[in-house]
Amino acid sequence: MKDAQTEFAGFYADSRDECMRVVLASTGDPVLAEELVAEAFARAWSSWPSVRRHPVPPAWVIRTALNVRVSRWRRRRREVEYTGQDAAAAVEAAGVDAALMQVLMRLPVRQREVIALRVFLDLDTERTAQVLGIAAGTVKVHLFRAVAALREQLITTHGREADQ
Amino acid sequence: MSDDQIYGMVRESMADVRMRRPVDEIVAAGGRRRRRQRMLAAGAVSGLAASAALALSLPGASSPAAPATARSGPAASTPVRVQLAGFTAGLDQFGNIEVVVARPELVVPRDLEAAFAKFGVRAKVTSGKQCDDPKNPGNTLHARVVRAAAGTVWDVSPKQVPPGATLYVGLFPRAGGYALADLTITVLPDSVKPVCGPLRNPY
Repeated sequence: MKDAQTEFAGFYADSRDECMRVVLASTGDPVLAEELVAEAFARAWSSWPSVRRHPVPPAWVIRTALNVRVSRWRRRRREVEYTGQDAAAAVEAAGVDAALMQVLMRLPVRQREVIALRVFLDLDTERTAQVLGIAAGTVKVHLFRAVAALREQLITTHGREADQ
Repeated sequence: MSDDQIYGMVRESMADVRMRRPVDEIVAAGGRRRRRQRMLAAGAVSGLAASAALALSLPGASSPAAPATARSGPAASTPVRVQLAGFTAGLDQFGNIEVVVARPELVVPRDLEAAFAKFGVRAKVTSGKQCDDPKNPGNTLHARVVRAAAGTVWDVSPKQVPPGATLYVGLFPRAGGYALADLTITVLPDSVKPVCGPLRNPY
């Protein structure tokens, strides 16, 4: 048990920041992202014997975090209205480049998730498709569109900055 | 601008993002989840106890024998734990029903009644109303109410609610949880018709 805990602690130390970045790219909310990632890692620990055998355990964590978000959203519809906080301030406080985050958040959620999995976990198309539960062809389309949109947005942003 | 440059900019934009939760907190939460799953698995096996608890929660299952059967069920076989957004309920080491209210604004009276039913206690929960027998105020029940990090904690012994009686809980939530004066707990025999109204006799 102690060995398993040590192993899990190592896994957590190695992958927690990358998981946090992927989930943050998906949600855009640092507080929510941290909650989801914490919940997903807790679930990973409660099922550690099987999660440790997963080909890419961080991908398991991210898929779980994204699923938790969906189920929380469904539950929250029946609960009191969530009082959110100043999203932009929270993003900056979390150490995110707010300007690029703004560009990223203009993309549809699936495109954000696809590009975050590619950038932070270096997942290939097949593995990304498994994590998100979509077809490999769809992943390619989302990635292509996400990169194209980011390129356009970033060039525009940089152009404006250069003009000023 | 190449694809790799774009990936690099996205990567760079979140380079300072950190997951700050300590691993101990994650391991503790995972451990609690694992224990809960084991309890649920064990609960699924003991179908008889579950059936008894379910029967109690159905309308018309108020024969004197039914509560006694259900009462001995969960406590004797598997620990039951109810976990909802506003509160959790479970049996403590002494067999008392322990209710922890973490978010008073999310406590739905009907959910709390259902939770008590799982422990074999018939309860009627009202929000903003106190139910008791004005002719016999001695029927009130003192519950231990403490404030802890997890929320407001109070407990009731199933033995204090005998067969043929109902536990009446009046919730008077205010910001920050339930204080001692914001909770009324009364046990009345089913032969008594309770009178429900504003807070009169807080415990």
